[in-house]
Amino acid sequence: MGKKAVEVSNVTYYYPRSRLPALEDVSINIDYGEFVVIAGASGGGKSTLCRILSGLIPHVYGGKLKGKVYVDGIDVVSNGVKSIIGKIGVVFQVPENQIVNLVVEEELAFMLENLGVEPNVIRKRIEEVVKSLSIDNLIRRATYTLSGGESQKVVLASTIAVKPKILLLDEPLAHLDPSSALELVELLAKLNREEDITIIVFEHRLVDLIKYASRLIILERKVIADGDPRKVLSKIPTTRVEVPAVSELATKLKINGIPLTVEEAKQCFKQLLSSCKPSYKSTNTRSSSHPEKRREVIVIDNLWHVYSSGKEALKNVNLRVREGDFIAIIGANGAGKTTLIKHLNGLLKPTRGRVVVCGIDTRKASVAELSRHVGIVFQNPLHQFFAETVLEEAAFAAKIRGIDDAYEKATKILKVLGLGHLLKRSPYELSAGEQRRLAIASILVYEPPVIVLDEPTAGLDPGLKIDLLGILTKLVREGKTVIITTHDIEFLAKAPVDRVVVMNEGRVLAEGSLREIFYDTEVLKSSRITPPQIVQLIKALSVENGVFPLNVDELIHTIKYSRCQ
Amino acid sequence: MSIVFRGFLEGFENIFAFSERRSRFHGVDPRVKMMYIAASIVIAFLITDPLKLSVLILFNIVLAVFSKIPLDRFASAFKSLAIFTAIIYIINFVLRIVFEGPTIATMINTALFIANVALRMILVAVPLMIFTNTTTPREVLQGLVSLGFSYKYLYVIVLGMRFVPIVFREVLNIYDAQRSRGVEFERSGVIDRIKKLKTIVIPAFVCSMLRARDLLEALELKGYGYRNYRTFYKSLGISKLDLVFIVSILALYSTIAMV
Repeated sequence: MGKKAVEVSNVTYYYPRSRLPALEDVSINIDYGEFVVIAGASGGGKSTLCRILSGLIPHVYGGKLKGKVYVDGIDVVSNGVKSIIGKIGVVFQVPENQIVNLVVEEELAFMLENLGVEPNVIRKRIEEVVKSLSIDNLIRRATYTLSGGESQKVVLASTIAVKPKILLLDEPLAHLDPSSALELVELLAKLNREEDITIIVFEHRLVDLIKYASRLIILERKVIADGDPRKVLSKIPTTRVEVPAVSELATKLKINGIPLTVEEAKQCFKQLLSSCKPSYKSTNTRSSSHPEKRREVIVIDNLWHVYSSGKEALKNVNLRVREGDFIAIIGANGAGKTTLIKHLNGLLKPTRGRVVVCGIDTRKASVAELSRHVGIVFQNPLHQFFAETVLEEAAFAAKIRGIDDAYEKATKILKVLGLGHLLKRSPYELSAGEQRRLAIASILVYEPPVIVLDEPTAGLDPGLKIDLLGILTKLVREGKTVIITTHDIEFLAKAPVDRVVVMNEGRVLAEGSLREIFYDTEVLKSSRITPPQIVQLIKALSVENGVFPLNVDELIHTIKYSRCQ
Repeated sequence: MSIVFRGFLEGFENIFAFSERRSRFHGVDPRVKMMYIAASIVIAFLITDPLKLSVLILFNIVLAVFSKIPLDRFASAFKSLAIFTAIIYIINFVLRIVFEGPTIATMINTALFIANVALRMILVAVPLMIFTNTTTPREVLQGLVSLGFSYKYLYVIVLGMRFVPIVFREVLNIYDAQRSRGVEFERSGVIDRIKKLKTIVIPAFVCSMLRARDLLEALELKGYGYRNYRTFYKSLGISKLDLVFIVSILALYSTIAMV
């Protein structure tokens, strides 16, 4: 039997001071040249396995490991990181934390220099890698000016400059916007195809990845499924991994030969969808009856914002938000979404124009005063946690406002959000999804009428996203005004959003219902947004004549009630 | 207050950030640039005459223009220096009033003294900006390694330079997140303000620890410390032009000092 790229035999691992194993009796063999995606819900052991394969566990982390692990024929459990340096490349989740130098070229050279490679060889390797990944435009850039997508490309380039045989990537797409994620996935496919590098990606965002994968493994402490991606996808529930919508559709309709892309789905569903007689009625949009009767909670008139660097981040933005609205702000990176929401509680003040929140002009009020009306939950919950327990953290904002029953209120809200059993735990011990819910709870506790969430789905797995959607929907039903910014188009396609605001280069490009926006090719193209897969499918088959579904359930509903054959 | 705090941090970030615009100064040997900084610090200590100081500052500003430092960086760096100087002025003024009494002469003397100190600070700050904007910390490290220092310990400086701006940005985000929850840093007494500081310090500490863990893993995997020696893909070398540059600087500084 020949040497394998990776051989994991009966591995069980316990973190220090943990009674539950992070991995239990895991066995995986991977051949050279494979493109393997290892998926699974948060906490399923993806990062743990990645760190075992890279030699960091147990050498750096400690803990108890049973079983055998060979990478490129080397026993990494016995020999640690140093034994495989140069043979495997590892890319982790947060690109900015893996870049050590200030200039891209220096970063590309760094690992080779550490290994004592001759300068002329290093220069040659840099040239090769720059050409292979087409990053000549980045080579002289300062690393702190790179976007998330560019940073991840630089990390990848610096890793493959060493010419590793195997590349391990731990959730490399978690912090990227959709277009950067797609670019990175295509680069990985190219490296696998042209340079024969074995690719192992630990990731639950499968939409772009899956079409290149030769194998899909679902890991949830144990290996749940392992094999051809189509076969595995037909077996697993969609709450565990983010399955492409077209694959989910085929699974739900029990169609053989699951499509992985919209292109494949066209062939699959052409006959079925072309035969539909349009009699479809939306199930998604809320009936916002008599909108004019609801009071305006946010009024934005001719808003301009110019940063001290001279960058015009917002240009003549006009927006009206009524009480009880559920609004999504979408747009590519740098479109001005976060700058806009920072105006809603006065963190940023208008350079020109005005923002009025619940009747208060933000130029004339402090952030503390405005925060009574608008609660903002930022992207990283760790930026706000400081208390010793979950309960203290949730009650904090109510306590500083002098609300008497702060703890009672906090307990009640934490219970509603499914955190009732964690009151005495430290916020830092919670999982990513629990931390996000705690951040929301800590705002809800003082009952602001408007709640704003910045990229609430970033880093969440599909199950946690469904929980989040439930929380947001409930808030809107209770009469709160909810505003979210998001890149996550598939999440949005399932949300009962009243209105979408599309931003591009600091301007509001369009406003409308989800259906109006997602079926408007021109708007999406000019704002660099890819529509949900179901919309792509309907448009590709030119069957949108009166039928405008946004997500899998709506399309199935259409098929059911439109007498499709 | 919050705007002052934000501007102050951003200004200092600009002084220390490397600029990616290429200029002739980017290629000057880091050891020569270090000598230039050292000479500027010495001359700022030696000279007290405001006229001479102004001439030297003007000369260095011309050099800064040639080194293509973005103008907005200059502006924000000077803004931070102005805030810093104002704080020193107020402290000095209060101390002098206590010891010498509140007279107009005290005010004028303090102002003259502080103006002099400010000129000296600018005389150091401008070359320092040229240096940090045109030299990557790694080039400095390479310069020091060529003088016999070990790279393993020196790389901490490079890491510091790389991560200080990131941590600054993170602190600003934390500050914004806490203000969004209703924490008022502006309208409270000193003790209350110190208590509220923990809402920034604790998250900043935790985030930095997590970042440090990631960084440690990245360094391990990139083979940092794998060998006792390392190579450098670019070789250092003092060119004739570098020599002309440093000799001219030294000649100019000594002439002005002696006139």
